[in-house]
Amino acid sequence: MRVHQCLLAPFVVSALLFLAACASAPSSFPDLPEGDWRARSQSQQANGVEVAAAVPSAKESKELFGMALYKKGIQPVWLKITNNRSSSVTFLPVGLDPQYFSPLEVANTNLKEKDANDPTKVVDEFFLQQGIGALALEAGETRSGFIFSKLDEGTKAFNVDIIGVAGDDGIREFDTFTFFIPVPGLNIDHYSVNWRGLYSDDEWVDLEADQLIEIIEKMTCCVTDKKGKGSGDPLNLVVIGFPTDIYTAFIRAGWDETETVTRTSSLKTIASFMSGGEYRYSPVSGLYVFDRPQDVAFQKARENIHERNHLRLWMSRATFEGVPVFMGQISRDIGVRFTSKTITTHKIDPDVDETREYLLENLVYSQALEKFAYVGGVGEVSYDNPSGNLTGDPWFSDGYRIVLWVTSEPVAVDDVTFVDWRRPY
Amino acid sequence: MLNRSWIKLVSTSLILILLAACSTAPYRYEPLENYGIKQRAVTKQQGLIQVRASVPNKEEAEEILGFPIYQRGIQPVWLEITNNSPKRARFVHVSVDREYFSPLEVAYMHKKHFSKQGWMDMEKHLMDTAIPRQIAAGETESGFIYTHASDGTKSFNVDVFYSGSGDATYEEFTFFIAVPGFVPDHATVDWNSLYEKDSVRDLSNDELRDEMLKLPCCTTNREGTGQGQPVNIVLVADGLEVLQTLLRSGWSETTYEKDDNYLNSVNYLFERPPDAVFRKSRGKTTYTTERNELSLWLAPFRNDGVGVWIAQIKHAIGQRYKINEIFFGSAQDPDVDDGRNFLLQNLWYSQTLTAVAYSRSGVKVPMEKPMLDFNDNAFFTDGGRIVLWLSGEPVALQAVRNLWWDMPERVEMVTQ
Repeated sequence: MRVHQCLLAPFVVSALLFLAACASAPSSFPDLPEGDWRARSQSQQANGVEVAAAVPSAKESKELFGMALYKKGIQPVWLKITNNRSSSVTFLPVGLDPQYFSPLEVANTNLKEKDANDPTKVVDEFFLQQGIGALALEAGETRSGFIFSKLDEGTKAFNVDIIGVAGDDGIREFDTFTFFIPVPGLNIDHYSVNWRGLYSDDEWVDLEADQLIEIIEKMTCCVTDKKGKGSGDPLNLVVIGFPTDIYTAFIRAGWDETETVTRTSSLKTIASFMSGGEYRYSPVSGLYVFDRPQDVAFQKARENIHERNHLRLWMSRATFEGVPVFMGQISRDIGVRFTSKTITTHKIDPDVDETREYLLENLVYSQALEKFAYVGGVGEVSYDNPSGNLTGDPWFSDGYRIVLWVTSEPVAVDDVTFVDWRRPY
Repeated sequence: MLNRSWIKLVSTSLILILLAACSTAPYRYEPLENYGIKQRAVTKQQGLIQVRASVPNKEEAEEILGFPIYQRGIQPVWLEITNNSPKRARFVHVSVDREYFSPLEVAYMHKKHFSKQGWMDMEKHLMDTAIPRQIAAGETESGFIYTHASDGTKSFNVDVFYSGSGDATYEEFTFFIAVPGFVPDHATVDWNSLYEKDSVRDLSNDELRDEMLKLPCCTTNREGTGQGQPVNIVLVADGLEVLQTLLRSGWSETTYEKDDNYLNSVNYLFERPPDAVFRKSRGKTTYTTERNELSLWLAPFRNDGVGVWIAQIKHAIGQRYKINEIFFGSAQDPDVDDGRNFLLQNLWYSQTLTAVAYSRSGVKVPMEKPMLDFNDNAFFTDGGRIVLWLSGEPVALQAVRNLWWDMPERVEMVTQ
């Protein structure tokens, strides 16, 4: 749900009042998920096909299947597909997860405990019954059941792909239903942000392009510590979008949400740190802009906790064409090292522009970007004379910030527009 | 909570381990020109862009870079891009590998091999020899991009955006590059000796449909005395096309040594072990198993002049009984139809499929009374087989044709 944009603005009164009225507090992120998993189901309809989807939490999955599936990295997704067309359609589970688990694979995750003398014990009727079964749905048929997918805690994002003849022309079409389903179990940081309360109504300001460029280029180069001191990682991102679009775009591009720091989450982080294993929702330390820590953090785990990308966003009080402007910072963790302050910290790739360009490509190839531009503001820092972040890691840069207009509607790779504000190359 | 002294103990011992691992060696590397990397590069030209690509093998990479990069699961790919357009072009790193490694990341991962100065020298060298993103009008740029290592032939895309005569456009290049030193199993097969030249029949689609009924139900063991798994997949494409479509769909080549241990546990068809075996593993999860293994046998018949392959897919669901054997000691998913349907979708989504037909010509084994193969793997099946016509050129998802030979068996509806 988006808050009204410029449409309601009065035509008269002073310019300042106009600006104040034009911009308004952005909508909040979706509400905290709660209740029974079935009650959290979402449904969508297109071209005579209806798809309902729900995702049981870790606890609910354990109750349903009698096994702690989340601990095995498996997440059941419940689907109910109704074909109201006059011809058959086919559902393709690899669209939901290219490496989905088969029901009997899930049933046999405790294989070692099974009776080794009877190989037929691996056939488990209960799990087979829970699967969605055949992929084809006849005209008028409804089919429901589970697909077992790779675990994504926080918000589960997936596609349900249906292929079949939709119209009278006999031409087969592909319908993709995209779901974003919040799953309880993690304390995701953006649920606790009171977006509306970040700024008072008279603080919002909507800017023209040249005003925005000027303000961004005058913005502080870098993040600070809690006391507003020090000069840390460069603020090399500007993200333009409503919170919901940002969240959808980054999840679509494979980024994970982040847990707020709680006792459980720090224990989870320590365990994964020691083992080098994967804890994809690990809380990130607070870096400060606008006198507060980041409003939202996303991360992208690669092989292990030591190799991941971190991204932090702070909502500014500026809007551009009625859409909120966020300042941001991205870094690529390339390893771990010891520091005097925090015992260990993540070493970042000093080539922060490389990481910035990676993000651009990542969003474009996930069809999550509408437009992009460059502005200055970081200040050029050379490889031979690097700056240091708050934990003493060196970095260098061409001095440019990338401006990213993110979108929740998919945009084709060759439809992304370059807005010619500044040119780093 | 963890107490402080424990943390101190762990961190101190970690520091000691790291100190012990510190090296005083300077950074040394061999020039690229000393190897045949550029000479053996594959060249492709599309629109106003030319791309040359080459992949050094493990030994070459270690000498050219000065450290054993393959050991960390990283494979350098050498590219040379020429931009013949009147404007700047941009090469997209993520088109080669969605999660490529940055040069300074690779440097950091290997710093323990060198002294502080050695590490700095290496960092500089890796930056200088990395392929840049921007290619000026009329210029040529070359260098390495660091990707996740894969076994055998390396398949990847190279996307380049540029402005041609008017609007911005992009070219998508697809490469399949043999890496010297890796001899995949299919390269050791003497294809000409498999069948007498005159004995290979050429079948129309209708004849192929009838031929399905004559195919053996299942594979056997080496001696031909034991029950194997159902034969439920047929691929129609010539050898190179099969190889390229499988690589594009995320499968890797294998190099099984054909010793007695292997031959005694492998499935036989046409009285021989598979002509080629491909493997597809699942990415890292908390619960990891090798996802699938696909065995192929060249059939003694063709379809409208194109090669036909009989295939069998095995989906491992866990380790079982035997120790020291990675794949053959694992339990197979008894639902062999699920593996069959997975391959259909996998090839479909990789845009390598032009047509599909379903044939109810196999043996039906009900779930309630599963059979056992000679390796003691249980299986059940609806008896359906799929025939998949493959294409080297990308095929749109909705353009795949169904020939409607038979209707698939209906599975009882599950209500929730």
